[in-house]
Amino acid sequence: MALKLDYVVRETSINMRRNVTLTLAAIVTMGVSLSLFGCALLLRFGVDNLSSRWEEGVELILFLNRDVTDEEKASLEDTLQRNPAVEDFRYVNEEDSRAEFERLFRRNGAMLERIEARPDLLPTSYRINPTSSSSTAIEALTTELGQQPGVMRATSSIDAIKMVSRVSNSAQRAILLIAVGLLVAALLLILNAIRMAMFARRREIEVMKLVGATNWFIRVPFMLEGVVQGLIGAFLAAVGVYGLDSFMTSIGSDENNVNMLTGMVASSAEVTAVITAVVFLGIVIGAAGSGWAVSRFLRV
Amino acid sequence: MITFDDVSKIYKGEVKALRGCTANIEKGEFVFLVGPSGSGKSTMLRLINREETADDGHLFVAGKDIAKLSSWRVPYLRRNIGCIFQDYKLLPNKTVYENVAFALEVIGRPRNVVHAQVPAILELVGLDTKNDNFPEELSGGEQQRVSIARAFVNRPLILLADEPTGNLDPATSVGIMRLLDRINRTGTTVVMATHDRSIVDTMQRRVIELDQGHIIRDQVRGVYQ
Repeated sequence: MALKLDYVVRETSINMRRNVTLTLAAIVTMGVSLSLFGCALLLRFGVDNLSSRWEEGVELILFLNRDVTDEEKASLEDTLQRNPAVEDFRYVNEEDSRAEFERLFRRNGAMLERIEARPDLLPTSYRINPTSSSSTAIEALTTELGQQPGVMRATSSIDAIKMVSRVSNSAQRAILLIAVGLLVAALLLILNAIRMAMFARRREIEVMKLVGATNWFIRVPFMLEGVVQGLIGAFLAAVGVYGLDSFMTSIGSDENNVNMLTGMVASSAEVTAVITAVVFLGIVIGAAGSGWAVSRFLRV
Repeated sequence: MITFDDVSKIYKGEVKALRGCTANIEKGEFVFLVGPSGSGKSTMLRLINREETADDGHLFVAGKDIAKLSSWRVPYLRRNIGCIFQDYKLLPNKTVYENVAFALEVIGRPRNVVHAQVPAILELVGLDTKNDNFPEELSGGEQQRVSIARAFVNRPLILLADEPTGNLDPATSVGIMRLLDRINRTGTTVVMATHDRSIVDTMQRRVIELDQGHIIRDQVRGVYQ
């Protein structure tokens, strides 16, 4: 059967060279579509990681009214002491608030100037460490404490994460929609590429049928061609996914620029899983497209 | 070897290519199918090769009712039937050697078998000096010899010839017929559809005459008319 493998590889490469443009179109479309799939998956992983990372260190902030009275503060502290959902808390006064603000916004000249002019804009606050890290518990606590007298606003990083999640979900949905559309296009392009390949080789196919070659012997080179196209497209997609991962890692792990997206990175195991899924999808679509072409247009 | 039993074939519900044909061809026979265009000669050949299936009646090849063959078995039937045509059906981008070797390669014969059998068959048909030529470099007669070599390289039981001398001049045709006769004498059953009166009259073999799908004559030693 060494002859058979030889034959199949040779025939497949001849086929592909004959219709370079169409083959290339199929491969590129496949590559782009699979890249989008991969990116959507990476985004999902990233956001999940971000959420879980932030959930570990969630801190509730109670911003106090500018005219909060000492009684209100005492009453608040009492409530916080007695609340089982509160692990511990600390008070941040005007000075410390100012210092923190200057540290956080040290690169933002405009913000700094504004507070310079109106230092009373900065509220004092209580920083609360919740006992439970579950987002439902934290949300409940936030709502409850937000209604206490003297409290201007209660917030936690959960809000920010929820916003990121929401945006990311919409983005994922949009990307997936485009990816599916492109995948259909890739399938049709492969169908056409294989069909053209079969047409170009119609004389050989006729002789093969006459002489008694088995159906599979005739089909296999064409199906292999489809799979190869799918694989090359998947390879391009893998490069794209890897590139996106590098980009996300550079943003999400930058020590100097800790921002909301810190931690929105997929682990290496997850990246491997995404690339594997992309390659698998490439092979499946390649085989499906060429299989369809062969069944429909090869009269064996 | 080949038995037609009341076989009918209708194309697209209207054109009656064959009607109620019955004939029995024994192993080793040489049979001419004659008749005007459209009489059903090619259809009979296509039925034997299972390129078409009969709509009525039964056709037995080597004892098997070929209508009942599952489609994955059909290639194996065809390995026992060699076909040659008026237009030779050679692959233009392959040499003489490669064209014949192709027939062995695609049925999975190993390389050593190909190397052994192809030169032998090319010598048999008298083309051993033209191994590396392409079909376009050959005369019609030579191309037909390549076709015959390809059809016969696997030593099939049956050789079907559909107007093999249609594109050839009389002198060349004689050469081809001598070759087919030699092949027949090795025990291969030959069924040949032809318009060529002189060949049929010269060789005086069994003649089955068709007219509008009916067999109107079946003579053991016949002439064209």
